[in-house]
Amino acid sequence: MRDLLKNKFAVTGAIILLALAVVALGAPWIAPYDPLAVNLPEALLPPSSAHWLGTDPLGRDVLSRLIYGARISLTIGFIAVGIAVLVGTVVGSVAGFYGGWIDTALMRLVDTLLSIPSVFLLLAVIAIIGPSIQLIMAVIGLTGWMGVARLVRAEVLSLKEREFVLAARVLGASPLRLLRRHLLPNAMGPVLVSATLGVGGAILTESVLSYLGLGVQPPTPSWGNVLNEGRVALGVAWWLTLTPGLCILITVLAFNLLGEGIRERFLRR
Amino acid sequence: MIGYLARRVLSLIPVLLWITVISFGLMHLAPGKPTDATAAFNPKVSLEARQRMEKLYGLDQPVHVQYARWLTRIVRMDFGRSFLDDRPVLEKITERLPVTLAINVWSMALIFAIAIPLGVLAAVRPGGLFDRFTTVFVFIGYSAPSFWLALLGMAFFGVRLRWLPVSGLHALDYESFALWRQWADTAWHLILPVAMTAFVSLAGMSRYMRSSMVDILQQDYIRTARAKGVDEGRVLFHHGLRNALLPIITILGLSLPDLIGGSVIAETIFSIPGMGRLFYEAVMARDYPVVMALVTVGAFLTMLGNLLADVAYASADPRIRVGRSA
Amino acid sequence: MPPLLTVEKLSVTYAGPAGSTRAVQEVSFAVEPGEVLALVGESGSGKSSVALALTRLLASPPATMSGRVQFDGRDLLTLPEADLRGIRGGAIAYVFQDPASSLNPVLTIGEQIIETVALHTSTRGIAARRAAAEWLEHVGIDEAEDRLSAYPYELSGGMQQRACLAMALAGRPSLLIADEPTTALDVTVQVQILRLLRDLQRRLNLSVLLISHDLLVVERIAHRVGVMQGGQLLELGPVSRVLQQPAHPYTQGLVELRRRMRLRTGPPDA
Repeated sequence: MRDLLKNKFAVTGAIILLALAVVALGAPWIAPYDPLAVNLPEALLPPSSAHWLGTDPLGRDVLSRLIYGARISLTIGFIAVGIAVLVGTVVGSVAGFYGGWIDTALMRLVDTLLSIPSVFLLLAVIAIIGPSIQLIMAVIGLTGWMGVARLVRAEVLSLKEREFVLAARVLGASPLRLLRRHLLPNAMGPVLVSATLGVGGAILTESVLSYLGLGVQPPTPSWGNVLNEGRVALGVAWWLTLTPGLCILITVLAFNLLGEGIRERFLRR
Repeated sequence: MIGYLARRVLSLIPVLLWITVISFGLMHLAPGKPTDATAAFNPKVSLEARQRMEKLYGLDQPVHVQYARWLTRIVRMDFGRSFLDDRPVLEKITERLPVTLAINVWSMALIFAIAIPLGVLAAVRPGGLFDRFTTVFVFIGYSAPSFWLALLGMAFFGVRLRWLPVSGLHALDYESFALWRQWADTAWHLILPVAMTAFVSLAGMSRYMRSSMVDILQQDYIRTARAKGVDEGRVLFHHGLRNALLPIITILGLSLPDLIGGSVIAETIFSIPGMGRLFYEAVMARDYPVVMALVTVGAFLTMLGNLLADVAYASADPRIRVGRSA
Repeated sequence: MPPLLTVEKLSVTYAGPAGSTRAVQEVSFAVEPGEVLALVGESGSGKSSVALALTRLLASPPATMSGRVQFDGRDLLTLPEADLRGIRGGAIAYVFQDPASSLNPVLTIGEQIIETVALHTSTRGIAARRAAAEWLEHVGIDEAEDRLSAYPYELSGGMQQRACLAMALAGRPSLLIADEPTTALDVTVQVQILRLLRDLQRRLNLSVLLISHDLLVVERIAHRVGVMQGGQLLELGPVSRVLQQPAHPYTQGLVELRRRMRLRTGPPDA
């Protein structure tokens, strides 16, 4: 832990994320206005002391929308990655542990999924079934588990033949127990790095989807759809384009910094 | 080498099959039948007309039969007809393919031209000023949503400064231009989309280049080269870069799906008539034949790209080529 | 005859995160023409640093060197880089410990030997290729012409080290610096390579600076030996004298160890 604190990257990332978490959790108390409150006479106002980040085409306060947007984005990011880690760990463990044709079949599946541009899959599925926050989380997670699967599989494969595992097997440990106590804990380091970076990626993906109209649906604010709504006033209302993008940038940056910091710590071992 | 190629192609066949299964499966995710959408557009369509359409598309058959029929048609490159305008899907794709290919090829060229020198220069003095500066730049580039940067680019260069066009592939009076002017005009329109597609990959690639180069420069044979009196430039390029580029080839292959997917966003934002935009429009309009075809084609292109990358790697790295006996 | 290489009070310091380490402390010695001088010591004694420091092969930001290294009337530590490059690989050549990693995996053996030929002789083209093949024969590799198109991974460890030797000798050095040349090889191969080294040294009237941690290796081919520990040169003298009448207690310890090992492995052949 102490090495982690010495790592400037990780610390900066963690601080930013902490601040974000506070904002997201405290949204109802921090946001100055109701993010859904339409107020047409006050549409497209530039930043002022009343509206720190101006208003959008429907007169809603941008700052409040961005604050609530943080909630949505962070939630989607975490849950999507949670799904990815879960599925990836299961697939990777099974493939690495049992080997043979199961391994080959599963890895073929991984290869296949990796060959399809995820954007294609995402757009197609969401358009067909209809956008909803749950679906978005599921789909982003289900298009991102492959990396985790490969990581876990590699770890399990390399540790499977080591003496301490063979010893446990001789003692009659079940596969589940072997995985849980001996094999997986070692894989968790790289998986943690992948997950941290993955949350950033998931947030980016969600913002693209929302921008294209297939993500979080208005009026629920998400950084992506605020950007989309700002499109109509592209050249004039700069505050609608600049600020949501900056939010995404800083958030993803924080996750990347944290993830890289964790990775460096594990690399040094 | 031929043997290696043959083996690689053979291993791709099961993957291709799986891709067709997934594409096909996608379409049947929706509640109701795929033809419901077309029927929905025209409420006057009678029940018999609907049944006729379903029969035409074989929708009254069990799923696996439908899949088999679809598969045999795809193998003959018959992707059916678009629900939207009844034109053959293949035709719609082939007329848009060159544009998307052009964007992707130019993006890759840009990535290569910028990321590799950046990475190499950063690696020569790790921890130095240039290295730290590029690391910051890379982190920010990595983390920024590319479409947002595109929007900013559009707002700044397009609307504010009026330097670059913000939409379409050609100017309005394109037809009247001389050939060279047509080319220039197209290039002009492609600058922002290519820049956007390249930008994010660029950040990642220069980082990979840097770490690969740093790795290689620590190898013993670099020390041997210096001990032989080779000058530093040749050490870096003839000895170092040749080895450091090997993993980059693989990574480039791996980033193909993202590049192709990126086309969707870039083309939609800049209204470029390419494959990506076709996909977006088809998805929004529930034009299933087109969607299915594009998912398959997109995946196929990716695999082709990976194959090319593998071949390039094999010809560059002698250890792979001769089929390791060691 | 004057010595080929004279080292005066050479010191090497590495600047690190935890402060600086003095890897080599005021080491002085000379290499005579036609002799094999060995530097022996355990890991961390500084012997490899000495070898690399002689031609400024140590990365200069972390490492700082002081002292004088006299070769051919010039001080190598202050010579301009361009001139130094002419000497490195030419008059002074190196062979390193792990031949597999010392060879560039994507270039053929021939290309790598010809690179030395092109850099340090005036031979070019087909003549250079022939010269490279001849050097391979010198080091005991048959079918030399064919081997030129081979890649490093196609050769065994022993052959790789021979190729490295050929690559070093192709520049016609007067001093060969061999840093643990046999440590990474199988025992039987070690003996072959040492014999080869001794052979080449006599035939080409080469001087060799041999770095090793193994007294048995030293015994086989060295004329004189210097003992290093903790960055310092403890004693220096003819091999027979040092081994039979070690002056320094550290050397005495080493010799004792060697005696015990000899009891188990038997004496080296002539």
